[in-house]
Amino acid sequence: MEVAVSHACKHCGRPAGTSLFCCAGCEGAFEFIHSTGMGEFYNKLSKPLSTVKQKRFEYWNQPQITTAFVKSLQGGLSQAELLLDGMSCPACGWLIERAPLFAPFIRKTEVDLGSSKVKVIFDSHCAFSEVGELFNKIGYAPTLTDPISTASFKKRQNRQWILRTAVALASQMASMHVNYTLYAGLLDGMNTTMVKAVGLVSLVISLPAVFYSAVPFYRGAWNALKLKTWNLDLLVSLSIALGFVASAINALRGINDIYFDAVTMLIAFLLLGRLVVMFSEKRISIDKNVLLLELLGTMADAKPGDIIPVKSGQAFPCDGTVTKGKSLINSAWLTGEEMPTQIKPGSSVYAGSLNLGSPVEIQVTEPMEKTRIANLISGLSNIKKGELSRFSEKFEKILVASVLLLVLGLGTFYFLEGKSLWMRWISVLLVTCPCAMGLAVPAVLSTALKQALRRGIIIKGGEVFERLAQSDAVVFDKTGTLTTSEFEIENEDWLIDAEEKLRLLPVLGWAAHQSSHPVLSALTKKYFRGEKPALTQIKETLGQGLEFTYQGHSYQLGSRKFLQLPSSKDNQTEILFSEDGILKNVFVVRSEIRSEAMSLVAALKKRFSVWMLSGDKKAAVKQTADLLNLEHQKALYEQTPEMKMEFLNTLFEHYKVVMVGDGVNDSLAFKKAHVGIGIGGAASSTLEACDVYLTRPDLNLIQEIFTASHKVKKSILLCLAWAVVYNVLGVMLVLYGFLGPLVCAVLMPLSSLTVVAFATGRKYFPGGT
Amino acid sequence: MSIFIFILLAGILIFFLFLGLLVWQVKTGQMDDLVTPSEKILWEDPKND
Repeated sequence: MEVAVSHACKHCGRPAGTSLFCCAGCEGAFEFIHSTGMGEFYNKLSKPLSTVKQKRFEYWNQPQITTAFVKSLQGGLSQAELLLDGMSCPACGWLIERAPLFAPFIRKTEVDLGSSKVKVIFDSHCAFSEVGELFNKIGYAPTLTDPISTASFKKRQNRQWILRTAVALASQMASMHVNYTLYAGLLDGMNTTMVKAVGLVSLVISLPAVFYSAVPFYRGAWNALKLKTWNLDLLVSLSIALGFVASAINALRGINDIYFDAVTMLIAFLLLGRLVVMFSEKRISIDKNVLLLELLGTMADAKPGDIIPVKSGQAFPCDGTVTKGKSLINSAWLTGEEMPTQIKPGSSVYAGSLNLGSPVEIQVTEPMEKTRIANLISGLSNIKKGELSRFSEKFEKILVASVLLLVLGLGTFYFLEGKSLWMRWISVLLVTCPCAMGLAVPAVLSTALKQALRRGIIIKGGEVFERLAQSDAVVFDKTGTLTTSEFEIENEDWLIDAEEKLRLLPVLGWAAHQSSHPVLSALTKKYFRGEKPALTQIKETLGQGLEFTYQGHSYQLGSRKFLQLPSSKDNQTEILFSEDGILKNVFVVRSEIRSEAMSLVAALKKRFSVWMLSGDKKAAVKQTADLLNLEHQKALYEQTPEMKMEFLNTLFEHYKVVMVGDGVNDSLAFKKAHVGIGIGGAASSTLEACDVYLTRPDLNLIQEIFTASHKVKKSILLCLAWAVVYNVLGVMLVLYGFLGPLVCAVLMPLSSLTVVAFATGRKYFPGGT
Repeated sequence: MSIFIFILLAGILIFFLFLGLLVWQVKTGQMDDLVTPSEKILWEDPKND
C-alpha cells in the first residue's frame, strides 16, 4: 500500500501529489517570479491562482493580429490590451504593475481588476509575442479579445450607461431635496408663489433624468409595441410619462401635488440595477481571427490544387491530402485527444492539426475560408442557443399586464364617475412600480457573479444561473475534462534488480525526453532528472519508438510492435524498454482520471442524466465509463465536433443539457448546449464559446455552480414574492385612499432597499461574501 | 421672498455645474475602472523596492 503524500502546488495550490508543483507550467512560473525578486507576491495572495496554461504566442506577430490589436504611440512605443482570465485579486495586480522592473521592454502596465484586463505599453521594436510570453511566464494566459475598434466602441457604450445612471441619481437626489420644502409646506401652509417656484425648480432638475437617462426605457417600450407585445420597459415608460406630465401640469399651475422625485427615483433605481449586473457580467468575446490564427499559426494564401510543404512542428494551414512523406499529426482540435495519428500519402489532413513528425507535402483541397476549422469558428457565432424562457421574464410579463389592466380599468372608472381622482391613479402606478424587481433581481445576480469570480469561475451572464437551475442532463467530454490530457504511468513492471535499475534510469529519462510523443512524456515526467547521458545514433520511428546506443549497448524504447514482440491481449497502451534485445521493463500508461471526477459523476447521476462524449477510441472510452460507473450506451466514442453538436440536438428533445468540456472540439457543443461549462485550457475558443469558464481545472467547482444556481433561483423567487405581496397591499391601500402619492413615494425606495439588503447578504458560493 | 427665489436659482446653477463635472469625469475615463484604484493605493511605489 502506497502512503499517500499530497502536497499542494506551490504556485496554484492544487493537489500536486508527491511533487511540489502540479505541472511544469506552475513550476516555471514559481521559479521565474522568484528569480525576478518578486517572491513577496505569494505572501500577498488572497485567493488561489489559476493553474498555469502554457500557450504559444508566435501568431501574435501576424499582421492580421498586430494591425487589429496593437496601437502605435509616439516615441517608438506600442500599446495593447490583454485579457488575463486568472487575474482578479489585488496581488496579481501588484505583480503585473511591477512588470517593467523585471522586463525592461515593458514600459508600463496598467491593470483593470474589474474587467481582468491589462493595458501594456511596450517598445515597438520588440515583437508583440514577447509580451504574451512574458505574462505567460509569470503564470497568466493572456488572450486577445476585442480588436481596438470594438474595444473602444464598448468603452463608449459603458461610459454612456454610467453617465445615464449617474445623471438619473443626481436628478433624483436633487429633486428629493427640493421636494422637502413642499413636504414641510404641507404641514405649515405655503404661499402659491413659493409652491410654484419650488415646482418649477423640481421640473427643471428632473429634465435630464426624464429626457436623457430614461431613453433606453422608451426604446425598449417602442420595440415591444412594434412587436405587438408588452414588457417592463412599457410599464416604466408609462409611469414616467404619466408621472412627469401630471407633475409638470401641477407645477405650472402652482399646485402642491408634484412627484418628480418619485419619477426620477424610478429611473435611477432601474438603471442602477442594470448597471450593477453589467459590471459583474463577463461578456467575453474573442475575435475570429485570433481563434483561427491561434490554431493555424499563419494564414496561408493557398488555392485548391496548390502543393504546399508543412514542416515538422508546424500546423497544417489548409485542408488537404498528403502527397509526399509520412508523419504523425496531433488533431486535438478535432478529437480532443493528444495521442498522435499517422498520416501517409493519400491521407486527408485538416487545417489546425499539428505536424509532429517529419516534413510532408500536401495538396490543398479547400480554400482557406472553407476549411473545416474555419467553418467551425464561423459556426460559433451563428449558432443560436436553445430557447429557455426565463422565469423572471414570464413573471415580469404577468406583473406588467396586470398592472396595466388595473390602471386602465381604474382610469375608465374614474373618467365615467367624473371624479377628480386622477392623482390616486398616479399613486397606483407609482406604488406598483417594479423597483423591487428591477433592483432585487440584479442584486442577486451581481452578488452571485462576484462570488463566483472569487472562486475562479467566470460566468458570462446572469441568465446562466436560471438556465443551470432548469437543466436536467449533463454531458461530459472525456479527455481534458474527466481525465487529464497528460499521460501518467499507471503500472510499471521492472524485470531487473534495483542496482541495474539505478544505472538505466538516467538513460531512460533522457531518451524519453528526445521524443515528442505524448506517451513517452509520461516517462520524461517521472524519470528525467536533468542528467543527460551521451546517447548516440538516436533514431525515432514515428509512432513506434526510439532506438539508440549508449556505451556500446543498443537500446530500444517503444511499443510491442517496435520491439517485435507479440501484441498483448488487452487494449493497454504500453511502453517497453530493452537493452541489447533483452526486455528490461514494461510500463502501462494511461491518461489519468481526475480525482474528483468519480464523486462528481456519482453525485450528478442522482439528479441528472449523465453522458460522456469523446473523440477517443472505443476501448479507452469504455474503460473510462467503467471507472466512472457510467452505462456504456451513455458513453459515445470517436465523436467529431460536428457530431457532438448533432448529438446535443437529439438530446434536446428530452433534456435541457449542460455541456462540460475543455477544447476546440467541444466549442460547437458549448454554443449549442443550454449551458456550456468550459474548463480552462490553452485554447481561446473555449473561453469564447462557453457560458461558464473555470480558471482552475477543479471539477468540484461544477457542483458548486449547480448548488449556487439553485440558491440564486430561490433568492430571485423570494424577492419576486416580496414584490408581489408589497404591490398587492400597496394597491389596495391606495384604492381605499389610505395612501397618497407622497407616502407611496416614500414606501417605494424602502421596499427596494429591503430586498437589495436581503439579496446581497446571501452566500451563493462557498468562501465568503 | 426674493432671497428664496435666489436660493432656488443658485440651487439649479450648482446642480448643473456638478452635472457638468460628472459628464467631464465620465468622458475622461475616470469612471472606467472602479475596482483597481481602491486597491492600488495600498501598493507601495515600485521605485522604492
